[in-house]
Amino acid sequence: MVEKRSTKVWLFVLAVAITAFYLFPLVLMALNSLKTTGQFTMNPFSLPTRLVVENYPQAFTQMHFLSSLKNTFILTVSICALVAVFGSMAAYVVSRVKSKFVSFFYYFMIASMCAPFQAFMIPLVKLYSARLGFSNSLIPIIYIGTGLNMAFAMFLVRGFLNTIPMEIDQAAMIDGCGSVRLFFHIILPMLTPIMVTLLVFVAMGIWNDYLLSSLFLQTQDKRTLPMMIRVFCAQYSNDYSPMMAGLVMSIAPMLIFYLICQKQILAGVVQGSVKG
Amino acid sequence: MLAKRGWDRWKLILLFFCPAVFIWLTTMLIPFLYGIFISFTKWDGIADNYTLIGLANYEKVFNTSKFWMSLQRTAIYTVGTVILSNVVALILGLLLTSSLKGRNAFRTAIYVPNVVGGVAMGYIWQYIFNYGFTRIGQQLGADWLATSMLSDPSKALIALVVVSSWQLSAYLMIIYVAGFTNVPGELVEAARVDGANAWRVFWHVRMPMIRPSVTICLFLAIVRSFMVFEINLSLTDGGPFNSTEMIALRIYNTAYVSLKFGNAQAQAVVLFVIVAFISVLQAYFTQKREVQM
Repeated sequence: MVEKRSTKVWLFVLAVAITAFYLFPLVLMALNSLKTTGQFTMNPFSLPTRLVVENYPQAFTQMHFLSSLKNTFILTVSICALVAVFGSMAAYVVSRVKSKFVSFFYYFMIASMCAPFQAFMIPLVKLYSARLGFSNSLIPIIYIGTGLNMAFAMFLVRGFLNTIPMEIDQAAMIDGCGSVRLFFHIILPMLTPIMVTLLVFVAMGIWNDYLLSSLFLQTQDKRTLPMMIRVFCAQYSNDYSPMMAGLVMSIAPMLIFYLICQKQILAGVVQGSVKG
Repeated sequence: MLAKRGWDRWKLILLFFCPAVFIWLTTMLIPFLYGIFISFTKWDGIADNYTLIGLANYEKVFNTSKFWMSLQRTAIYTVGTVILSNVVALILGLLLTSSLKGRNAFRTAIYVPNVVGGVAMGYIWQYIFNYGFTRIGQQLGADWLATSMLSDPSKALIALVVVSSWQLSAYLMIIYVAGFTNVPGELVEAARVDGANAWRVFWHVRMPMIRPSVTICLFLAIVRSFMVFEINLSLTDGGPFNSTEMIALRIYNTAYVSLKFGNAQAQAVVLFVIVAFISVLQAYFTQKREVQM
């Protein structure tokens, strides 16, 4: 369709204005991380007269940045790996084996995806912290995080597996390939596109999670980035500029990850929305 | 073929399917059932002994005004957020599927608020409300802007709706973009040739075609708003004077601040029932639509 040139220009201007509205909080944050707290409270919109980079090393030590980054990283990678392996294996069975047992549990799991986390929160802590003795440890978070994402993983991978023809399985079977080898050597490599979408989506959720980690981790050396933001902002609540620097540092890794994987992330939003 | 060989079939189920089921059972189903048991007890979370008190927690939950107020507040918040975020997202979806230059770059940029976690987002907005908007208010001499919305019990909820919608609309925009992209171009073209103006093309051609996306986005927004926690915690922490304490934060505070775990779990079960009801409604509407198409 042909549109007038002036309409196109106006649409573009409108889009720029809207984008500015969605980005300005982050821009303000970055801007004020380079000012002194005095300048910040005087006028949050002013440009820094001199770049106050000292906020960054200060926030870096106060937030225990390296250890919280490490913990967040361990959680994200472990949960992603477990979800990928167990989720795709289970999805393979759901897609290929006709069994009442399998479909009963599968649909039960799918239905559980919409349940609010608050319904499990207290019993999870009671079971894993008090009964099994996992306190101040990353292990229960890894295990629970895997469980909470399992149904979603199976749902997503199963949808993709259903588009891979059974003839591929059959051909491999005739060649004498066992079902375990068939899955890991032939099917799994074909799942790469959906696995990337799944993992990127799961990783974002885990990286930004505050509640689950805060339930199990108490000491400083075990805290994750979102937890550290909260402690930091509550403790130093009068020193705004280092706080802004801290926020910038905690957001930066995810932002870089997003810019690299944006295609998969946005695809994950659309595919993930169909659940429920 | 796979399904025919009995032994191989069960080996596959046992090796491949059962681990996932086991993890799910131990992290979701068993805790959930255990949670229902906890809701029948009086337990302070610290001591190992608890007393079974039957339905007393539920009675207390339904008889305390704090719970009802929180539920009512959550409902108001949900209505506000669902409407605002969906209207904005719909407009964004339309704009970003029009013949706009660099629309992919715009999509990528607008989605950014969703990359940042709820805790960080809440803090950033807290400073904007406390220092940014008040500054603008003072400069313009506008009294209603000069004091922070977050310290005013009658306005803090509005602030929460605005911030949540700001983030959620960017998320829903992606789904609407996918919906609008799937509308066949010939259909829009044909309507235009027949003399339909832009509004009629939108209302009579595009909207009916993206009805599935609308259903998805509406329910996604309802469920998300009902379960809001992190932004609530970091933007207002339920304050001022409890005026923004949503149901999820209320459950958290009952458990970890007031140490009434049985009572908190009873509230959590009520929240579960509400969310489950919404999800069943969604399934019903989705199915009904599929029959029609």
